[in-house]
Amino acid sequence: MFNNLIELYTRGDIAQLSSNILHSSSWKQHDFTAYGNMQIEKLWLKSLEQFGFFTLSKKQTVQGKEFSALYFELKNDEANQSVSITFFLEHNNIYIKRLHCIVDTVRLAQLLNLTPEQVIAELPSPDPLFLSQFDHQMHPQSYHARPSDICDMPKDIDQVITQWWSIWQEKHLASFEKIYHTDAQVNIAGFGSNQGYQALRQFQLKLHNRMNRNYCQLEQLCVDEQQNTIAIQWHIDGDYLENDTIKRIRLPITSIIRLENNLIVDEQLQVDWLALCKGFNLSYPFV
Amino acid sequence: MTSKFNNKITKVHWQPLTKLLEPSGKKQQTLHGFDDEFIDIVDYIIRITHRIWEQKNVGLCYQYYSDICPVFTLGGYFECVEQVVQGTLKTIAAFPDRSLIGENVIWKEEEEDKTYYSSHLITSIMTNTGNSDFGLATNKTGRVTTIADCVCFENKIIKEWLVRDNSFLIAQLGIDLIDAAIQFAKIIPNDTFNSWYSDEFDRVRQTEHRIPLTFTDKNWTVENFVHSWAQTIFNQKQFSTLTDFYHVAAAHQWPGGRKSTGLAQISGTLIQWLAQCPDAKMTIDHIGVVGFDKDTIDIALRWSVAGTYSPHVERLATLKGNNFFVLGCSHLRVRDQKIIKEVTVFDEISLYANIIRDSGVSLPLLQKGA
Repeated sequence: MFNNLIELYTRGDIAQLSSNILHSSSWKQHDFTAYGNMQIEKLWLKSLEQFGFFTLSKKQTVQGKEFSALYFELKNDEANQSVSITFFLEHNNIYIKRLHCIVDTVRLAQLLNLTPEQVIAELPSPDPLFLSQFDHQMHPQSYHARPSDICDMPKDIDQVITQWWSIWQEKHLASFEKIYHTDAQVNIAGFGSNQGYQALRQFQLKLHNRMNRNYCQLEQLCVDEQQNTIAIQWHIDGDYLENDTIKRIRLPITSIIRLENNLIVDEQLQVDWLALCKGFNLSYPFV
Repeated sequence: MTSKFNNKITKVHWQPLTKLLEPSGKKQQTLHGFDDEFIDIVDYIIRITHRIWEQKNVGLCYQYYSDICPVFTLGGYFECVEQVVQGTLKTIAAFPDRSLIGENVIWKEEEEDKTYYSSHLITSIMTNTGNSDFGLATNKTGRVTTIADCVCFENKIIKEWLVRDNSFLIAQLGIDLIDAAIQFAKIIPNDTFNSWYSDEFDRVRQTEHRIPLTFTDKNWTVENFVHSWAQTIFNQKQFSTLTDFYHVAAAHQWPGGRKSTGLAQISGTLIQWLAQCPDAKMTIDHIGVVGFDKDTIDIALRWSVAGTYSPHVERLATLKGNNFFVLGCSHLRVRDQKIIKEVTVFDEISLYANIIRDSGVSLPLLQKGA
């Protein structure tokens, strides 16, 4: 299935991937959910026009049971530019039922030599969301999802991922130095690749400070015990402050993590910033 | 958890359409009076829906609906097959590429009257190229979730409750919800609808909402669980008990684009929605349950909510104190006695349209051509 996804973008092999798609499969990309062959194929064709037939330059897989994830980068050798894409999918090893694809559209704009506004104009209209107000506080006896609530995993992986989640949900910034290797490769969509966790910590602070009453929620998680890789589908809700106005927004994120000796050595934090701008009528840059 | 269910009946979730349309398995249910080609009630529902809607054989309604077939929706009441045919044709004309993607069919064999009850969860993709009850053609493509609850007897649908997430559809078409409701309010419903609406409102209002309905691990049954869900959350508004009903990362889809994950967001969605009808009472009107996989079951609920409208938007302030009534359906996926996924559908446009019509108040439109 991973190969079929890669072959779609590198060779334009629509037929092969179509054999994994059901009439009732959904494919979410740029925060728009496509259902059925006609809508899904339209998304594929647009992607192929934008970043198809480039060279696969990096790949990370997370093979779970019901859910799996894939991260890869495609490089345009002539322009020496690349774009990154993550896929988080519900499957039964034959068919994909639901798939959430996140494209780093900021890097895509650079690859296509377009402005963010030009890329935003080409994106499909995101699904309209009605975000209800809720109590975002972590009251002592309230229940909030933790990684082990969603997926069984070995104890050592659970310990690292639980601390990783506490960085985002509870702002336990001191956990960075406990769970990241000093030379960890961290790629933040729209912000590029960095060595060490410092850039990610700075990003985390900026993000939280731009969104009042923010709340991080886990959606789904899968673990590949053989490769020590973990994929987490999650989102942040918050009040985004822009020009003295407050907008309630939701920021979907997929994180792909690889561990060595119980330390994070590789992490991709994937966000489609330009789809977020389109969906909530925000101006770029977001942070 | 699912061993007591007949797991040989067609399950839609992982089936490709080609297999659903040409089932190769043996007949799994008696299906007295149904055409021989159907192997079970799920097969019947999936294939007749495909034939009528995707193959555009609208006239097959004559074959698969009884001459007198009460169809209840929050927007109106239809009774005869002619109205079903005309309504289907009208929708296909306004949305010519409408696809009906069957997501799930939850069913129940009613031993008393030898009928089958099916609850069909459908996702439709459709482009609004013609004028419709929503207003002028927008030429935009939208997605909508529908749940059709049908009573089937001897190859025909003899009764139906139909709910559609129209507010989500019009959000994609760029139509304002209140404008659409004002337009819908101009449609005068027939006497049967008025009588049903009024009777249902009175029936639901009589619900005794202060009696605790709880369950324990030992006496957990689907019936206990869903009646407790309705009583504790909707009737008693005890939102901290959500943890007794929902998994901490449950996915929750409600009309109009309300998508929540986890207890905090689900709590917010329900509080905000119920606040517009603070004295809301809910009744569970039908329960169906089937096995999904070895640890998981699917529950279909048809329910009603009635109370007094307390407007949450300034534009509707003059409607305060009017009757508030909802016909809704929910599909719940339950694992280890907790909901892991919920899809709830009702027609918000008709909900507000009924309030506007009842009030007799004339409200201005925001958009031209609405």
